[in-house]
Amino acid sequence: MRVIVVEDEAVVARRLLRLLRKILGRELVSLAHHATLAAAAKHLNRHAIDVLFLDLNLSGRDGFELLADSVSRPFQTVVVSARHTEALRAFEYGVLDFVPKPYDEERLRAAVDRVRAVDAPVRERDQRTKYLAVRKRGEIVSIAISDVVFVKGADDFSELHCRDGSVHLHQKTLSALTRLLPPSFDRIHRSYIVDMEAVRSFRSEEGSRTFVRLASGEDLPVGRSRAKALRDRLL
Amino acid sequence: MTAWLTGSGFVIKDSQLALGMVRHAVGDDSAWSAPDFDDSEWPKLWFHHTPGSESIQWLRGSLDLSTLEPFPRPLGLELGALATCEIFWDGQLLTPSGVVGTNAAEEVPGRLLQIHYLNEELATSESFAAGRHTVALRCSTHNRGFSPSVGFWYLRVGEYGALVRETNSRPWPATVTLSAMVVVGLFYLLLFALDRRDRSDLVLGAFALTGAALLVAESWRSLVPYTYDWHVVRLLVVTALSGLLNLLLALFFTLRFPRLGHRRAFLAAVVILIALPAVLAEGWDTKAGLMFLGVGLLTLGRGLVATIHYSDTGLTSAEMSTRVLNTGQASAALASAGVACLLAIALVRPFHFLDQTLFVALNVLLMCLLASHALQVRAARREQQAAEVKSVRLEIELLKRHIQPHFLMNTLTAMSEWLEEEPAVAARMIQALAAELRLLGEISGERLIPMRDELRLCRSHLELMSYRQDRRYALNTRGIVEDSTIPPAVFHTLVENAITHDQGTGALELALVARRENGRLRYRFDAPANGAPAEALGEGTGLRYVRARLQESYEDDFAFRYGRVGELWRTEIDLPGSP
Repeated sequence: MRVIVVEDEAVVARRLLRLLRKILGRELVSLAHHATLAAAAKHLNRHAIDVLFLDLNLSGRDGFELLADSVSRPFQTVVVSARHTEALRAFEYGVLDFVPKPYDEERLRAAVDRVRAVDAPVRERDQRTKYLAVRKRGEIVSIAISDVVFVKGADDFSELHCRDGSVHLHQKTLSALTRLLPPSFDRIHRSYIVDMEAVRSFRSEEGSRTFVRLASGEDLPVGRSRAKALRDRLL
Repeated sequence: MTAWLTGSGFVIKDSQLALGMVRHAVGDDSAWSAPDFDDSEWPKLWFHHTPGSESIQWLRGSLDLSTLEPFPRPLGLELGALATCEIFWDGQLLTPSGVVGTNAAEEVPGRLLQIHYLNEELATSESFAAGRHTVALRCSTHNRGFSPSVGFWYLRVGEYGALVRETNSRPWPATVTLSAMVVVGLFYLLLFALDRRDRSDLVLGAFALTGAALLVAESWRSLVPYTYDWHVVRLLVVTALSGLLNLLLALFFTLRFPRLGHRRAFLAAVVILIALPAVLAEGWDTKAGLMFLGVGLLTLGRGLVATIHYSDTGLTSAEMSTRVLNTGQASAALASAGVACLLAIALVRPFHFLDQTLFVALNVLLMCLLASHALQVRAARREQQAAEVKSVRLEIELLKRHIQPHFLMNTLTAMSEWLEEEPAVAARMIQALAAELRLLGEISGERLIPMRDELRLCRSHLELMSYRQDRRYALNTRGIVEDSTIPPAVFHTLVENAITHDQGTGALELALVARRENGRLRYRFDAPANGAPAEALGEGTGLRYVRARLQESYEDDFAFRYGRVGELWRTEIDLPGSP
């Protein structure tokens, strides 16, 4: 696991790094520490990472702007903050976990477990995320998940297709996003996650090719391995 | 106009008769009292123009009672004279008051006012009623005091009871207002004695009591009979009290509405307007009347300017809200209205102004000044409440800063780390946190604390932060007097800010220097400017707290500046020198 820690308090950062080393052991591929997100940016541009442990003073608008910046990126974000009252809002932004200060080893281990589970098959999912932050010409725009009809995987990023026909690029992979999307979204294909509430019909064609038709009239392919499960869910 | 000038203000009613033209002789002869004495050789003059004299003088006149309809029964005679007089009614001497004499030592001054009952025998006889009667007066005027030019003569006959009633009831309207003025006067003197902050209270109290004294002096003639030699003394007192009353009125306006300026010029003009009529004007009532007219107009002008000024430019203190501004205006307008009433009453009824209507006017004026004061008291109370609310808010803000999650939870997280890695350091850190919270609890409710406590608070915070950041923090001080006072957590806030904005590594050195200069106490706080650019460090919560605390304790008498000086971020606080 490749990890970066953003924390401006020296002793608090020392604690986080020490505990992460202890919990991850040999699993740890890289571990970097910076005092601010801006300072970490250079590192992030050069090195791919899996998770960012982000200390944020979520007391003002600035804190949430930084949070939106972080969650729009390809990696997962775990917020470590003194303001536990802001946890719900942080989840809405799409953080993977929210660790309130002060924390012990056990709580941190739970967060690390959530990171590990990202790539494993989804068993239970978070219903808390309400927005997906995407970068557009240097700006960060929040897209309400309720506006998203389906997500299409494209190499290392994803396309968010919205009800109004607009398409937004998200830096996270389809797998990483699956973790953040609510249960109404189903992975119907290697490259597609769709909001099942937007599906109008389901049809099988010659050669076992299966499609779902959306309210917009658009057809999306259904993967062979997922066709049966999907038929069961719909019928 | 004669009545206005001589002060002999009385009205002759249909059923009364006054002595008009008289024959006048200087000298003394007992034969001159006889009704049939031939005085046709004597010069004639108006009775009320009778001059004073170095020797005894006689005045003879006649009254035709047949003109009285209905005939007044029982008949009375009233004489008011600034002289000792023997009255001969048809040759018969009426009971004398005092003794007429050839010089001051021989003369025993008689009453200023005498009312005689003309006895039954004379009063009821038919000839008495119908006929023409002779009045002869034998007078001496040696005891008029230091103003011999003053004259005061009148004689009238009428129904005895009516004459007595009229004299007795004349001071009645004025005395009704006496107790009100005394109570108001004492109330304001008490207010000043208890508080001693607002000198306009003292002046208003003195104004009301002077008004009461003037009222007593003015009504004295009717309240307590006195001999004529005291008359000038009483008039002098009345004039002096009138001058004092006007001076106090003007002084009240300068004290109550102080922001107008030109106070000395205004008061100088007032003194001139009091002194000029006092010296130059003829007649006692004219002197006082002109004083009230001049000073009243000038004061009204100042009151109106105050009303306009307060609406135009507002009060200088930034703390004053719009509401207080309007109160200042309303207060000035009310006081002006009071003076305007006084002037209006004086101009409408000039003849009885000093002895009657003045006191109505004074009461109207006092009512207006009381209402004006009530408005200011209300405004002051609101201002004080606002200040108290603000103090509490600042206290809460300070306490909240130390239980807010960013401070507390980060401290506890760092503490957990030390606890697991180096428990001895964790123990010291707990002590530092406890010390800071304890000190904070002690001082947060105070308005001013000794520098000793402020520095302890700064140092315990620096110690705590040094455990959190595992860095060395130092506050170097120079020239600080530990007993001098400062609003709580002013420098503590600057220390906190310096740590928050510091982006450096290694030890952080902060410096606080105090020095006395031109009677002012100047503090200079320096921190390294290695953090965010200066424009990003606008006046945030911390600096707003510092400014609010300074304002709370020093109003506008402080300076608070900050900015980058080379490699330093410098904050300067300039306070009044005496603690």
